[in-house]
Amino acid sequence: MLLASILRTVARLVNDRRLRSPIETGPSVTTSVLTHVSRCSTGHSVHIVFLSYIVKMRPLTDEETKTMFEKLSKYIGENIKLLVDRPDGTYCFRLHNDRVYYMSEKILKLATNFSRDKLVSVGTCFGKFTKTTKFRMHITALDFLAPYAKFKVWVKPGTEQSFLYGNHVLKSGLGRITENTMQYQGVVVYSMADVPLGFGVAAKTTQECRRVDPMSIVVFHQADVGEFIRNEDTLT
Amino acid sequence: MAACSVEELLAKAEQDEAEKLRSVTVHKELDLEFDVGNLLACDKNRIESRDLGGQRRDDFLQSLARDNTQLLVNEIWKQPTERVEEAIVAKLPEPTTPLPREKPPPKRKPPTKWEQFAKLKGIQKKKKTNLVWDENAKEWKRRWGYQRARDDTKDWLVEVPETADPNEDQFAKRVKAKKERVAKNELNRLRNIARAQKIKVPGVGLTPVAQQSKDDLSRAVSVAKHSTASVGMFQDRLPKEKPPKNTGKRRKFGPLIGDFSSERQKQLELLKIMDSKRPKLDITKAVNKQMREEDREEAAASARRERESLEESLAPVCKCQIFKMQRIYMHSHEHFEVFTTVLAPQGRYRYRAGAEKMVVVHSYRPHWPDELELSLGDVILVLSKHEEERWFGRRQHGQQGYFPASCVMELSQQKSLQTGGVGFLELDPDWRLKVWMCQPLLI
Repeated sequence: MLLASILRTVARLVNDRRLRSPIETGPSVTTSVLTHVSRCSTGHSVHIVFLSYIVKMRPLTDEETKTMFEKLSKYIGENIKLLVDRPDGTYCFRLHNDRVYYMSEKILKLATNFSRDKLVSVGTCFGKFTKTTKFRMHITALDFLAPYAKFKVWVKPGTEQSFLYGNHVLKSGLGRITENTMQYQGVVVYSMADVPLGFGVAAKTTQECRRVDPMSIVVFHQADVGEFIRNEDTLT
Repeated sequence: MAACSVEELLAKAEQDEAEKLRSVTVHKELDLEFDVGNLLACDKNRIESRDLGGQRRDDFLQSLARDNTQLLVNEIWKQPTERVEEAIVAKLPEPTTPLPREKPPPKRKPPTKWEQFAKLKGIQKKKKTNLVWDENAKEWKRRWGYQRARDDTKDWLVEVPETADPNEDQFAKRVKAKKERVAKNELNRLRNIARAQKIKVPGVGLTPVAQQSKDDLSRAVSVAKHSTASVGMFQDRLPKEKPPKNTGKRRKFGPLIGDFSSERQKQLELLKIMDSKRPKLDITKAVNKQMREEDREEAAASARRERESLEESLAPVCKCQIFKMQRIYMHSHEHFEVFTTVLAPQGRYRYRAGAEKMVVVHSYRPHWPDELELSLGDVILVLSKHEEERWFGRRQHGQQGYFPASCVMELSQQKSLQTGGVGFLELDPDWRLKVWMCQPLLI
């Protein structure tokens, strides 16, 4: 119980800071973080990468952009336009060490002052490209998925904790689901208080959800805000 | 009187002069250090902390800034000036303060093979003369290069050594040796570059290898195919030959801080193309429609059977119970699973997205408090059709309630009936018992 409440407060704190829509507030509020490598300060292992394998930060190629947009559109549909074309500033995607970062051009210009091996993260990390050029989205993208999500799933208070530990959502834990959800549609998972908890993939259509037995999985877990604590090392 | 006034006037004049001078002269304990080239003035005078505290701080700082700026301007006026189109321009000297570097200093290149060897052996660089005396030509010629002093390839007479093959061409041998030396030198130069930049030696073609592996052969084939006038564009290919991968081309990416607007344009276009390629939600609609059809048929068949068996044995109590459950459902907004477990649903749910307008063809008196009273000719907006024969709708005035589906008819159907001249159907608004299927809250 204590752990659940801690997790929830952490999730809430994290999300409250970032919950406001990126468009309303200025770019200073959206997570424009420039981190510098701090060796040995946390005690966690820092990635030891050989110099010759760090490629410079660069914009995405056409194929990579296409792959990433396809993944994003599974969750937010045509609202990607709002991310690409923003009225309150020029924001862009850049690739650094196989990870895709979303940042404003001001931050980008600041980031050029760091050498490649010392630059850990710029702006918000949306995800990474695997070795076989597949795009894998990280939980850090939730800030930009939640306000624009097309298909949402609300989860009951009892199942929140289970989901935050990385389990799938069963039918018994399902509170609400957007109508017309297709099977294997990307969905954003919310708590009943409209706090985004993570995202996943719908295992059943809305119609089917109503029929199945309470023990079957309705949403496959993909990322949740508990990962900020569990996978601290691998998130950048 | 006049004398006083004159004295006063003189004093005043003197005071004015002093004022003017004072505005231009500034008294400082320590002189400032100037770097006029950078327009920089360094003031090393002490500042009392009491000057900085309190509300007179702004005035103090302003006067300080004014004084120092005055001194700097005085210094600028000391520079040689010239007139450029009605403006007096002072020529500033070279700046003396070194500014810090913008970028980090370049790293040293690693020593080449020769430099490493020379360091190891302690060989010093000796300055050699450019020209050397050539005996044959009797003149000073270059040490190396074009028309150099001792060019053995230019000899017109070469002695054949005793051990050599008499048929061997000595001149050609010398030329070939020179070519090999040049090639070796070039290769070493490229190796030095590769070591300095930590890249692989740039390819200068294929070097001959004793035992060629599969890679070497494929590379040889691709090089051969590439070495045509059209760079291999029109070369025939074997039926199952695959294009070579890893041709060693360096990938070119866009600039990091390029033109943001063009980047945005490209991305928006890409999104547009993706949108157009995406299929519309036809599949789910079709599936849902099919499911509804099946449900309807199924429900109709089962209801008929139930009706016959249950109608007679129906107790009023059961009806009330159902009514109560219905009531509970309507007033609660949550508890999804309560209804699914308690009221064992039969068949699939039917959900109607759009509301229809229907006309009442048979007046209806409500049997239950939640039903709607219908009068002939009313237009009802049907909001949902939970059941086969019992629909939920709203009247013009805003009243909402349930009514049997047989009392209403679609507008178009109505018209056809009128034109056909058939009378209104007299259906029995029977209340058929059926287990209530609840509908979850949908967004």
